[in-house]
Amino acid sequence: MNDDVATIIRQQAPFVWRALRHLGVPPAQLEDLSQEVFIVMWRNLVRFRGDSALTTWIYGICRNVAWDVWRKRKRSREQPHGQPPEPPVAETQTPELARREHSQRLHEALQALPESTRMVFVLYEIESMDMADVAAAVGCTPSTAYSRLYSARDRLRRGLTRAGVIESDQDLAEVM
Amino acid sequence: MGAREDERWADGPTGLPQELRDAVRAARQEGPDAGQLDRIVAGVEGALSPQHGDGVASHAGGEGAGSSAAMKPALALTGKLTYVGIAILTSALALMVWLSARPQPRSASPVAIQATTPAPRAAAPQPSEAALPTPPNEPVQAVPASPEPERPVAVDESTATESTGSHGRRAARRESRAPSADSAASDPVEEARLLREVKRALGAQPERTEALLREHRERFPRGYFVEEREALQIEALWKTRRASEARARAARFKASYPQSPYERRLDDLLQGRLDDPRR
Repeated sequence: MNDDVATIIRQQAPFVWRALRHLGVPPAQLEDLSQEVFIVMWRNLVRFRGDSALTTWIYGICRNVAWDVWRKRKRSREQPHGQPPEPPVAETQTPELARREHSQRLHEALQALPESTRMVFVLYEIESMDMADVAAAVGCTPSTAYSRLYSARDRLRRGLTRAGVIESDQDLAEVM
Repeated sequence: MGAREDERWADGPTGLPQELRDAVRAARQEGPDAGQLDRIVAGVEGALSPQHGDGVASHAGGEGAGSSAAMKPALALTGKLTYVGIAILTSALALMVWLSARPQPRSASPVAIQATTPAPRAAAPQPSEAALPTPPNEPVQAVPASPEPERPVAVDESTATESTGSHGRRAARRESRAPSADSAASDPVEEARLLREVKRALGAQPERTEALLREHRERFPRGYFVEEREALQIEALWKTRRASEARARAARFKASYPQSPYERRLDDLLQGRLDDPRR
């Protein structure tokens, strides 16, 4: 394989991985489905017209791959895997464990949001995409995307407060 | 980055609480570990080799529907495919190579890749964000364990045939398109550049067109863009008034590349529906 292609895969794989995860793909399937995204991307690269940013296009592929997984799971009546198991809590909280716990809490809270709201938050806040690109990716106007972002922030804040991640209303008052 | 990030997170009617900011920073570090990354690269490489006619299916439990469904947004983006895609491919691949060679600032927006050649007259307007799947109305979610994902919708119905074709046809297409690992110069960027030159010369410089097509056949006998080359060859024959050759070749093209995105354009060309000033 062209070395450049392997380099591109390594560069984009974290984005694809996170996008698939936030789209509800079970952790056990992330590796296989990341491969599928890149295979589809490569075979369709000639048809990429450049009307959107590259990551926007790649996100669209991730979205359809995730949708297909969900559809198959529903057909087979498997239990949904929207909530991965809680990582074990170590007696001594290392920075790495704290990071993973933070990330896991956020992921669980995100899964409670509607997909279009969730993915605006994910693409804007986690992937640091510009809002114009985020809007193109989720298929809405930038103003709608901003509305969804603020809604997501509000809902996440309330959800994490209920879960005890955000400790008190005083914290809320300080940031409002 | 820190100051700009804080500013970004403070905007709007509700800022981002510190705990949430910490969680977002933590989430950004999620991704495949080194071993998983190596396996992803190896898996893609294996699937794209000529020996794997159903490479995608083998990674999706033997079913091709995942890949065909996943291709919908890519295909929906193209609508009526024209050869300008080849020029864009060159730019896209060059940009991807450049992006992969430099560190990406987290605040940088992805660069939109712009077409470098004007769209042909016959091309339909190319939708931008409208071409991407649009979600239905947001479902009201309580606290579901796994909220139903919003069904992606392909805007361009012409791409729907991709998902309804037989697995055998899709496998044949993937196999016919798979580049040869023995290709003397497996360089998709160079291939695309050459075909862009063909497109520029097409119609106006028939001898140069033929020479470029011959060069592409010699250098990339089983390259990544054989299908595109063949479609351009047919158009070159038509534009040089070799109609019977063009029609015969087009018939073989349709047999070799069923449901090709170039089929509609070639049909329009051979039936005189494209405005060709040379004819």
